[in-house]
Amino acid sequence: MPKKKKDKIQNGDDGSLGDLFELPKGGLPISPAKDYFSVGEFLDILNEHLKSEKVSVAGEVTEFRAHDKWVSFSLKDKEDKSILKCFLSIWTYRSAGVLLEDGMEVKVSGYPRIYKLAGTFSFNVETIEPLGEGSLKKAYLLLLKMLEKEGLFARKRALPRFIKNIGVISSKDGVVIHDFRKNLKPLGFQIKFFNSRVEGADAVPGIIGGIKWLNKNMPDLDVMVIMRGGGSLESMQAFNNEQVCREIFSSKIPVLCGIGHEVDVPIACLVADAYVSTPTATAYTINESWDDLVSGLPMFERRIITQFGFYLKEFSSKLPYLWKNIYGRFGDNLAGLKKEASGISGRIFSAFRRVFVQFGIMSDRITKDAIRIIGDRLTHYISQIQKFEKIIAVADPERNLRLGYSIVFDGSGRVIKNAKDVKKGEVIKTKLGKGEIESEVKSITN
Amino acid sequence: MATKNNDIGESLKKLEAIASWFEKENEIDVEEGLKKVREGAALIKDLKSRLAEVTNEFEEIKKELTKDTE
Repeated sequence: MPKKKKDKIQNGDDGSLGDLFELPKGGLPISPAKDYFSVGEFLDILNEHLKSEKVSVAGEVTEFRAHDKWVSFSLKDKEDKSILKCFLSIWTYRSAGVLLEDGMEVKVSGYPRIYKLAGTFSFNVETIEPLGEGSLKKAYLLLLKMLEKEGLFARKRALPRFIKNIGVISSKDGVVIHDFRKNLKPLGFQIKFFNSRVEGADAVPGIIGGIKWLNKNMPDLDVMVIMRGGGSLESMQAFNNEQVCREIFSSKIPVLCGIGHEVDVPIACLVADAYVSTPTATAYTINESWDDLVSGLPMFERRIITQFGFYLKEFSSKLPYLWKNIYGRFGDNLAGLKKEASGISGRIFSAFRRVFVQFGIMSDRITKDAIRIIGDRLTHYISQIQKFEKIIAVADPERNLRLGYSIVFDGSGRVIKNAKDVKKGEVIKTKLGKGEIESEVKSITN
Repeated sequence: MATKNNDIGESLKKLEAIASWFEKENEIDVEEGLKKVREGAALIKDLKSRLAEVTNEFEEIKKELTKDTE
């Protein structure tokens, strides 16, 4: 294969600046039949070689123009004013994730290229990086404005309560992940960790990859946490990158960002559903999702015990009235009264017993006062009832009859209490414990 | 998992209902009250077990075919 001769290309008409570049050895074979190239062929050959000259060039953005399908600007050397015309597709521009404006200092990487139809030398941009605080800040503000206008900062989803499954995107190295784990309460959290760089060229694809992966493979995660420590605006670039921010916004899993910052809140934080600035605070936020239970539970316990205490107090204060009602209702029906009385005391006894048992199950922090007061009252009323029961028992005529006493009725059915109330010869009826006797009065003694 | 979160939320709602029942009730019904206390006690016991100390689990995801970021 015939080797191509090294060609030196003179620059322009004055020839004073010497060589622009040298074509490397090797390259495309040339048909031996010709000793010249067509323009198209020549430019194609050049472009082939130029493609391998990947390089990064820095300068100031001027004449920035965004068209439908492509973007162009001139990168100007501030020192000697030379110009490099830059082009990129609109897709590449958006993927780069950085918004440009005239005046910004940027570093572009890509490769040189000759646009054949115009014969112009230009630079095909693949990535863009703002240089210096000024440009970084400018890019930040541009993106901030754009995303805010689109409404990406306005949607905030609430983090679920009682979080259990957590997806974490962060760097394996450094203290961030350790601080996070250390400050999570031992509530059985399931942490799935997706390792990614958080700085440098690999950060943007790493973070985006993580968000995509988790959404695809673990869509039931309760929350996704993205964390990095603090740093300069330059080291934060991945978190002010448009693609990263859009990926966060489109996550179906709610996103919590824990990213350190000084003055400017990283745009990733503004797009997320919630943000804090340290890994510790991130852990606390997750712990907080359990607050309803952690502080709610003892409160419920207190309320229920206290209320039930009042409840029983109310009940026990009504006891004398209950008693009176029952007595009033049954009145002369002593048997019924007795039955009812034992029923009540039985119920109160068992209620009392059960109250203790229930409080024992519920907790050790019993409102001792409530129990004591109720206990005292109940004991008091129970003894009252027992006294009445005794009285009833003693007054129960059936009982006396069983002991051998009897009741005597006159002819008209009235109970005879005085011997004077009967006449000799009158027929009287005697009721015994068992059975009755009919008799005739023979004699009367006072 | 969604069901676990919901369970706890549901139980808390029930406890709230029980506490309010006591706070509102005018008619004193000891039997009903005891029933509610028993329900409340069971819920509280279950929820307490959810709050018990359980070690967190940490697992690094091994990615099969993503661009290597190491």
